[in-house]
Amino acid sequence: MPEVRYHRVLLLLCSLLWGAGTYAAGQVTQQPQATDAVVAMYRLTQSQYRQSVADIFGDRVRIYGRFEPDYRRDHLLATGSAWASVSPSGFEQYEQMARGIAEQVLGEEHRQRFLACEPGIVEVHTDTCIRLFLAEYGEKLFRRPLTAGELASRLEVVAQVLETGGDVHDGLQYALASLLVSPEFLFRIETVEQDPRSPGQYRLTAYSKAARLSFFLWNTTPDAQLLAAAQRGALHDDAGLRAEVKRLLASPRLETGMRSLFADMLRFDTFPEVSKDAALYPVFTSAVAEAMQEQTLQTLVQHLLVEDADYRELFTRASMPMDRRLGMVYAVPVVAQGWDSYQFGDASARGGLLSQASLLSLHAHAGSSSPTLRGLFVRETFLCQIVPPPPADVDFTLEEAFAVEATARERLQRHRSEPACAGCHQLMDPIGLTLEQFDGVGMFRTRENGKPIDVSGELDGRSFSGAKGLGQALSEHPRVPECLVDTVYRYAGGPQDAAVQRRLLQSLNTQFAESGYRLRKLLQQIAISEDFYAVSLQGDRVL
Amino acid sequence: MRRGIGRALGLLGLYCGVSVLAYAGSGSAYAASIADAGLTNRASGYLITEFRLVTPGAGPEDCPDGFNEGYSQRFLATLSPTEREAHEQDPRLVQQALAPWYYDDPDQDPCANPAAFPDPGMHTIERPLAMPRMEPDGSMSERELPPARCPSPDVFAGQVEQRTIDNQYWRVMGCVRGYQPTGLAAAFADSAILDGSMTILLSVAERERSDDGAVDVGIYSSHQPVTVGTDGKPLPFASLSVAEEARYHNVARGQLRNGVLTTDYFDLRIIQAAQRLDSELYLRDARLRLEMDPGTGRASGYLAGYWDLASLAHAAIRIQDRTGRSSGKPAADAHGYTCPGKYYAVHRLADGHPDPDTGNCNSISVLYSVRAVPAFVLGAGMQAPL
Repeated sequence: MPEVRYHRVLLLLCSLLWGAGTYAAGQVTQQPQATDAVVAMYRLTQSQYRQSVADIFGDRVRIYGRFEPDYRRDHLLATGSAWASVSPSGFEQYEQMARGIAEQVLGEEHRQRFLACEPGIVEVHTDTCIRLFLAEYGEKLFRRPLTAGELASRLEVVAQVLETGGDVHDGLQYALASLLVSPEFLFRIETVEQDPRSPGQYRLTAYSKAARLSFFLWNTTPDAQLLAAAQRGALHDDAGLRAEVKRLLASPRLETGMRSLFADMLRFDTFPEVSKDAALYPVFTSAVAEAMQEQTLQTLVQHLLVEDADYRELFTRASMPMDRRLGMVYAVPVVAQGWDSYQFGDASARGGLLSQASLLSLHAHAGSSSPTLRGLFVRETFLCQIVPPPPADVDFTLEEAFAVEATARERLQRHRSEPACAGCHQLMDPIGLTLEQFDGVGMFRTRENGKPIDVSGELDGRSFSGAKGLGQALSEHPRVPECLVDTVYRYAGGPQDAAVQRRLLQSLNTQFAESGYRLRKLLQQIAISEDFYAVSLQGDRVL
Repeated sequence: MRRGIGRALGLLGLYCGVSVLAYAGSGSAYAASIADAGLTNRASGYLITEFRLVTPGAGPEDCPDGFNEGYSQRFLATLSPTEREAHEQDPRLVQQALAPWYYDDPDQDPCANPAAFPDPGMHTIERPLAMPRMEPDGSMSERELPPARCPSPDVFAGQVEQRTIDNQYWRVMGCVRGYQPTGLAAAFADSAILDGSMTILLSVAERERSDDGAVDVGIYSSHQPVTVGTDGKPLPFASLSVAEEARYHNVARGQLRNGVLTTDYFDLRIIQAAQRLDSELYLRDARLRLEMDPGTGRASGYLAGYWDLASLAHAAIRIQDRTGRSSGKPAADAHGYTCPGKYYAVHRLADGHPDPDTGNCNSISVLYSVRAVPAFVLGAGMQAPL
């Protein structure tokens, strides 16, 4: 923004829009109104904010500011977004980002790309240009057309800037910034309306449906075609909805969306916090950490989207993308300068998703592996099971007594011998111990402190050995595909009503199995399901 | 005969084509990784992580006349005490007085054209020394020996494979402050490798139908920088391609017995670059001896050979930089010697490859210490492992 004197204009509008912070995020319950009652608000995650801005204004627009941390709930950031709010300091950051974006969009260098006409020639023409700009970008940012009041308030902002000596472009910058700090942009707000086909019933508005669909499959704001479909009511029609879902699933942007799902599910947002002992694991550089995540995301995209393969086979897949950075972790030659596929042989101990360095590094300590953390991760992420947290009165003196043992299996003996520990650790350690041939950053080893590593273990009564054995056991575990259905459903932000959830999940599980456990089919089934958009009433309240 | 084989292998390297030349060496944890990757131990690859001149350090008995002096010190010695004090307090005065440091005309540059300048003298180590040398059987010894002498051409040709390869270059540089164990040369010894200026790869392949440990060894320059880990050292298991220039594909026959690799004699040319330096190292009748650590898969040992004096003059006196100019004068001053002094000293102490016409030796023995980690050595358009 060019002048500080305009700042009060923005602050005035922000406070007006923010309603003194009375908006609260989350699954909200409201009395149904005649029209458009709010039923849910999801704060955009960092990646959704970035992707939305890039899609609306182009990926050359830089975002300057620090995002409030995303909030993970029930193992997903997507679920946590329904519970996240904006703190005062977080709002300051959003405001800073908004001003930065607006400056870039309406600065001299780029404004021609965004303005349909050049304001300022004649007064009438100027007013039209301002309205056109605000209407177009207001709809893109709010994911629905602006109301008359919303448009009028932005026009007032422009007018105030003009009154204080600014020009039209300055005014538009402030108006655009006000759109970017509005809760209507920062939150995906779902609203319901009376369902004309079922008097007395409510349904999600078409624009809410469009946004839910777009953020689910693309992790970004709806494109013009989807908004147009919403505008003409096509999303309330089964054929219209199916057509849009088909289009979204066929788009290359599906990969972007699914990368977000995978990263969320595998908790890659915690990777920046991972630190490793520099002397023990010199290979764990920031570049390698980045490549580890990319390898896993590429594996999932290749297996589940490109090859449209059976989800369960992910746990036994022998090939994985490899680049030269990772070649140093896996101790394999990489001829290509970029990414290439590497096939691990039958004799290799490595195979399947769980033997990838990203997961092995993420679920380990700074100076060692961790069978417990790895076992916990498998239980929570691939079996959707809850393992209670450790008791507050854990006696670590016993832990120290076992610290002198050479192998993790020996060191974890206490977990099995102490009744207070065994209850939970027997759920985790026998899984994680099968991955012990991979150290704290996933490098292969056969010995720990000079002693051979025993990789026998078990999962829910099935005994096996090593990472490949674990992969095989998971690929045949009935809970594994059900867990993915559950995870994808929760990620998509489906209804919270227990009865609807139960019905939909049952149906999705059946269809997922019938499809041969194909993710694309699962995505489609969720996206076209009527239950996915269902709004339930409890008494006279919308859930 | 051995050169014929070397050339044949070199040509093979030049014209043939494929991918992985050799991969990481054996060793318990490392061998496990390699086995896990589905590879065998028929061929091994290494990345050289340390390549240092062996400079044992000198005492007063080695340099009775003291250390040599660089241009600045020599200049200061010519000044009156008052003037000297003023120059010592403001080093810019010395810089100005001795300018230019970089010459546009190589003929005027005492480092680019040292033979055109008179010998200012250089203190060298003349007394018998006990220091590491490579014996004809490939072993290392530390016998106390007097300086080697330049043999007659027929003697050298007839006895090259029976000669101990000395380290006469240390005798030249032993009385230079910058070449002491705590000097500049040691401080920057591996910087060229770490900063990516100089990457050297090694491949060791069992010779087919051989059960006596016979191996083919390749030493290559690479244009790809090493990857440094969080401990500040080059990481093992990197995949690195050899330089395309066949000039930098050096091959030798050798033996790998009881974890010790020794090569026959071979000529070595590798890119020698560092900071400003852009040159090459040319050793004649070189030999490599490496001990392979089965516990780590790493290797360490020595490379001995005769440094061709023309190559030495280019890389270590002229110090050809990447702009085509000589950085020799500032380098000599920083270490503490003069270029003509060093030029004449290396010729005086040269002990290899005498010229049949003049009888003057054209190379000087030198010893490098070498360390290596397992790596994947990728061919540049080669068809088969060497």
